[in-house]
Amino acid sequence: MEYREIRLLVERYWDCETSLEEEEELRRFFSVLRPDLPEDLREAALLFGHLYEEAGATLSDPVWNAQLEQLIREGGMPGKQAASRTKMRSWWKYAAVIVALLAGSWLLYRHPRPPQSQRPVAPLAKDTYHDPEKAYAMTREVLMLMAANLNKGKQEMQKLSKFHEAEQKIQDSPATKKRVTTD
Amino acid sequence: MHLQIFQQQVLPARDKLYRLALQLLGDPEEARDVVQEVLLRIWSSREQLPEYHHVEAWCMRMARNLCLDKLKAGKVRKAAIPEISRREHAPVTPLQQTEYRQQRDYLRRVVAMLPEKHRIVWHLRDVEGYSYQEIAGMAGMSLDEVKVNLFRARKAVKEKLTQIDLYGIP
Repeated sequence: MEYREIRLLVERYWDCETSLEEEEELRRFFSVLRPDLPEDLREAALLFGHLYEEAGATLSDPVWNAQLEQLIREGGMPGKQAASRTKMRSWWKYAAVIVALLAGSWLLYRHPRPPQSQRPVAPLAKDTYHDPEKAYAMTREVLMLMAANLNKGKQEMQKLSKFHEAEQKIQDSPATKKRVTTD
Repeated sequence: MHLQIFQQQVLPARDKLYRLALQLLGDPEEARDVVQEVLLRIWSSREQLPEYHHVEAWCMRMARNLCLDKLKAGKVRKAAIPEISRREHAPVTPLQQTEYRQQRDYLRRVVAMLPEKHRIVWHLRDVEGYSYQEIAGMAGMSLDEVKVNLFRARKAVKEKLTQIDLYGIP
């Protein structure tokens, strides 16, 4: 199409005199970036290019779309319940924070901390062993015991993390997701 | 039968519903919520589906009302709209891309600043390509109101576009 015709159409567009077909023609014409475009058509190119892009925005979430279609096929409805559950969960978070703040304020009110000057000073550590070798041996024994207990605890934690991973896999599986949304 | 109407007339309109909600709310997540809400409401009252001659217009009107309710309640937070270009020969160099992004952002801001009625009419006509008659039904306006609002919206957009030419992108 000649630029002269496009110019006329653009003029009529600004005056709201174009038909739907002519407007579609303008959108299509400007959907291609033209490096040789005359200066006076630049603003129209910007606008119609923008309109062309805006008309292409879609619900680009294949998971959401697939879930929706499946639920409708099964006679159910879109993941509304899942959405409201999420909202509920955030309400619980807010409620928990408020309760924690109230409890904290109440404790501070009931048991105020004495000023720094009135607080009892902790006594300095006293030696319990006179023989340094004995003290070293005892310290070593205590540290070894602590290390052994820590290692035991770490092993338990590793077991727990395996459970956590397994739980994640189950939750991420499509069958579970489907059940959650239909609940 | 209801399911058939729903699948044939309501579901294909979901992208249009999404675009209208995105235009009014400016947030993809909120827009998705609105689409979901509209579909839920339509499905809940599916017995009425055969009574409507223009189901799509009913959906659009519902989406518009839900968006306006959200805006009135001040529940909307703005988030970035993903930039996906579908134009042929899309800008390739970093300079072109930056310029292009700036121009689109500017245009979005210009449209976002339009009064609500102008914005709805402008979107339904210039983005979705509905007739004046259809827009009147969707936006709850008379035919004359639609034309006046569209004329004013285009005039405002044109003025702002001229400013780009005069002063560059603000």
